[in-house]
Amino acid sequence: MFKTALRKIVRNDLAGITFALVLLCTLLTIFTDGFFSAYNLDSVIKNISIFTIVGMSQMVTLGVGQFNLSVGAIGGCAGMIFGALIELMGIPYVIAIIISLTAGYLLGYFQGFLIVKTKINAFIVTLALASVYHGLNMTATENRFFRDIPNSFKVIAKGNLWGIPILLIFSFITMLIFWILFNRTVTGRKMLATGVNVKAADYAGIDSGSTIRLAHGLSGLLAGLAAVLTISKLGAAQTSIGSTWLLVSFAAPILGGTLLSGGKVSIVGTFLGAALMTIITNALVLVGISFYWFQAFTGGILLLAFALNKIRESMNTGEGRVLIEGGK
Amino acid sequence: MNQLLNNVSDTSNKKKRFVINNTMGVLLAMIVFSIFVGCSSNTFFSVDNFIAVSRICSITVLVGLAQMVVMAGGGLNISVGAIGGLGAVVCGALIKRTGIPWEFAIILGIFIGVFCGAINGFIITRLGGAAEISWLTTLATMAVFTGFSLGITHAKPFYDMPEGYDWIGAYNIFGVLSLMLVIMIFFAVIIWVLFKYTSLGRQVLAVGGNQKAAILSGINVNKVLIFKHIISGVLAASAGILFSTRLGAVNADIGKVWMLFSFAAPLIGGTRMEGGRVNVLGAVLGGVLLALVSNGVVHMRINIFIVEFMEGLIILLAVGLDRLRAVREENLERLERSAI
Repeated sequence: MFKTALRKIVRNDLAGITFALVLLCTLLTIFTDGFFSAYNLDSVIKNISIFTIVGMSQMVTLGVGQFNLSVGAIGGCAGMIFGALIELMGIPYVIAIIISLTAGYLLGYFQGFLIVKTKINAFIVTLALASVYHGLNMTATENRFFRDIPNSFKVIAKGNLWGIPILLIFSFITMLIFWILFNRTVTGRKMLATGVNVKAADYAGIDSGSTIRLAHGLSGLLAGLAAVLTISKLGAAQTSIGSTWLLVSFAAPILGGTLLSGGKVSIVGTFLGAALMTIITNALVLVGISFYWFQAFTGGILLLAFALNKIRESMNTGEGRVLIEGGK
Repeated sequence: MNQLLNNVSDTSNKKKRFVINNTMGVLLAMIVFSIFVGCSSNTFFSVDNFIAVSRICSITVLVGLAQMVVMAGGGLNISVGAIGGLGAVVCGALIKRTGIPWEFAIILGIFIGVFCGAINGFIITRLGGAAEISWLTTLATMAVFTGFSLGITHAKPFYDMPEGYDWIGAYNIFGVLSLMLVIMIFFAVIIWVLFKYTSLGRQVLAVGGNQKAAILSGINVNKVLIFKHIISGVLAASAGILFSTRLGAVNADIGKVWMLFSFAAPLIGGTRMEGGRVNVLGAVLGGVLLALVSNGVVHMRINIFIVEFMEGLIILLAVGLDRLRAVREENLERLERSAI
């Protein structure tokens, strides 16, 4: 009886994580003073908004059955391009955003292109390109800061619209766009089909190469978007943007029910996963655990997420249900 | 028929030549690079610099071997740097906080490598053991191990290590042969013997070559997987401790930047990334080449971040060449089959 209930919770990806979130928030509200304060909630929500986009950046590549280890490096490059365009060339920030997102898309597209063309393992290609991109970024910018960010741009991170932080609205819009992509467009369904089985997708007449390239491009674009939003929060562009994204980028989607083996993405799940990661970190701060132990906790949660993923994958294959599933 | 046999022996010769070419290629690259740097710097070809390079390369080679052992069985270990850091940190903490003799502390530090490797191996077997699972798991354990290093040290270094401890990193036999280099060669020979002559080593290669065939021939795949991760952990922890003896201090940053060259050294040397083929001599030479590069760029006053950029390109190049070789072998096999 208990076991079947537990199975159901794990199976229903969103119910389990929502339950964990509600429980954690309730406990924190009861046992700590700081959690429910306006200041703390504001900072938590901003972090969740950015990490959701970072998580989605990884989720898109997971959807086609691949990985992107250069999420942070692409984010760093796009961020520095944005800062340089504004400070050195005086370009209006709307155009600078468009250019840096395009740069992110191209950097991602290039790695997708390499993976498809050479058929080398996505892991090693994205790892090597991460160091190529990061090295280029550091060499070209000499590791400097771009601080001359206009105030009208910083409003994105600081301001509220109808009482909702603008950052959160940004991530909701992005989520909506990608929900439509994966659930209502042919391209999105093709990407998921490629994720389930590349060969089968090829036999079904899907150009798996172009979907993989597109997925990496979109991943780069989202990494660029996350970097731009981080800059508006920090008020400066610096090369260290993105250096801490790797673990979160995997933990958020996988906690939310995106499968590592590809073919299934969960957009709301990624949002909830990002929320869980952020609130756990926040809880560690509030409980007073030394900052130095945080990384150990993050790694532990990631291991837990992989264990959950393993159970979900075995359930999926065990009962032979249709593998393609978009976000809820 | 005769012609066909000739063809077959011809291709095996070609294969042999390829393997030799790989080691020779790395050697050639080392010589060309050395001459290139030596021409533009008059301190590059000196005894002091030889000792400096041999110290760097003993670390790069050990870390490369730690990765190679796992790669041989068809997996990857991202946590080599984190294990190295944790081994050194535990060793330093034991010496400075409990005051036990440094010899024991080193042994316990290496034992941390065994422990971390066993954890890696155990979790990977529980999660299914695929190559993707192996790097994802070690990505997570990397964070855990680094977190423990930071938690133990609170990011403060341990310094003023005992004299004997620092002696390991500083001593040169006959004034030219660094003790670190000798230790590295000792480990490399053990690994070479392991893959060449022991059944466990051969089993690791068998699993890497074809996991299904290995299972069918009665190899305990999980045992082999845990074994290779333990060996990798020992090598990584040894590298971390060795590095700290050279540094004369222990901090949690040890191993932070090891990931890239841990992949580069074996891949340059001709180890197959998907497993099943290793080249210990190649990995050693690959590690030496990387050490030469990192030393050479200092002599040529090149921006350190260009090194990172180049390391990425080197990995891509090494994997690309390997891929090219695989495609060629496939084509040859197809030709043979069509001839029959």
